[in-house]
Amino acid sequence: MISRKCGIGKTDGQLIQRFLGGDRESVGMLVERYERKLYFLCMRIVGNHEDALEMVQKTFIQVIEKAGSLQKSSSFSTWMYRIAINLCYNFLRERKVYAQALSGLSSLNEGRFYDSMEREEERSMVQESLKSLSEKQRLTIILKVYQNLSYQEIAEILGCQEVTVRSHFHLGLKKLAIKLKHYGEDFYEM
Amino acid sequence: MVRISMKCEKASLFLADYVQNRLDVVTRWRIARHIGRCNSCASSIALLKNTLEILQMDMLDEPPLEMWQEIKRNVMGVALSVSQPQTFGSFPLRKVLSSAGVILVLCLLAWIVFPSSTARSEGKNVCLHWTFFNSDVWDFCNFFRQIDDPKLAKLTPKIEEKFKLKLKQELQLDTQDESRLFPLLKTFSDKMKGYWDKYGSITSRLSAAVEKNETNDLDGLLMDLHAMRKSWTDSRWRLINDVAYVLDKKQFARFLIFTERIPEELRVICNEISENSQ
Repeated sequence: MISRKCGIGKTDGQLIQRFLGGDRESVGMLVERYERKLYFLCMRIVGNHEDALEMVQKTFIQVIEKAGSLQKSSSFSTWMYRIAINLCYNFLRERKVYAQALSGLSSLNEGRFYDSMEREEERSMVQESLKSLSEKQRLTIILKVYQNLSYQEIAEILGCQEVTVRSHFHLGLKKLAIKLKHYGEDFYEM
Repeated sequence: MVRISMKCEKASLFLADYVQNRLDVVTRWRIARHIGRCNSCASSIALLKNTLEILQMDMLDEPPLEMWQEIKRNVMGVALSVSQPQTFGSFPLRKVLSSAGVILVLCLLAWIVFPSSTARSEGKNVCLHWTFFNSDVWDFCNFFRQIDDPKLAKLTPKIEEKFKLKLKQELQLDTQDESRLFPLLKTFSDKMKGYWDKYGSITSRLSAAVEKNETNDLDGLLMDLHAMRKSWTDSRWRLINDVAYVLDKKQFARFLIFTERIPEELRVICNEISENSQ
């Protein structure tokens, strides 16, 4: 079992303040509290284990380096999610450049843990469908469905209004439905 | 006062929540009422429900448990270096930290440069983990195989010390740079070791499958092998990205130049020390 003490009883803000006051152990508590969530978020965006691991580490490093700039009124978790998302998208952009330069050195979806062929097919179907969405629609769906965040929290992360998030979510789901239906037909025709 | 009528445009924003039963009573009632009158939204309901179910079924695998420790270890390493100026400025603590850094460097280099006893007994050469940029990997391994092990063991501390100094001089690292760079190299080495072990295991199984003519296994094994090679290559790029992140531009350029020369540098250092010791 993973240890889940995670600084119980202390808020994220209190842990950050303690870190700024010199208590480096408080960072460890934040890491324990958020590493899982961040890993699965990054995994959804970058698409493979190794990159997700890297993004999680970079996110925490940025959190450490920029902890002083976090305003007391801001939510730590949404701020951290923003950092993680920006890092992931920057990474994907860089990777695209690399990939062009190296003519497809790497592809997403590798480094997963021994999936069955059937499961892998289902996954790639969902992944491909998600890729067809706009960046904000995709992110909204990931944050809502897999991170279970509220519309308000997603709005803070994406820097837009709640109603816009709802719209992204709905339009994204509709697009996905069409795409998945299309894949489904191909799949069953085989 | 509750508005009764609702337009499709607005209702659509609540349909997903309606499907998941996440609406308050009043909004739920208004959406239900709208759906009862609007065929378009009613037909969307089933579609959205299916789509959400498919998405929710797409669960990711749990990563290996050690990964959480790895993340924490690496992040804490950085936390230590960042908070040092604020709270750890006293001389004794600095001394302790720099000693820890030196120990880390020595362990890392020992592990990178020389095969561990286990690896040696299994016929694997961990120097491979470091020679990732070079095309002359096999040449480098042959070089190590030519050297008498007991002799090397005696000279190891000196070689490590020289190598460490060389790396520090070449990259012009200060203590903080070291504390950021070396955990990355350690992580990379661990990954390489993992890949190398898996790679060995897959190639053995592949050989066995070929020998026994088990063609059914070949596809899976070849795919595994391919995936492993790609992961290996990707890790090199990721290390470069990470190092670029922790070092400044000049240091990073020096790092790249130095890594290209590592086998040669090690040869020179080993030969020098070996000659001096005779």
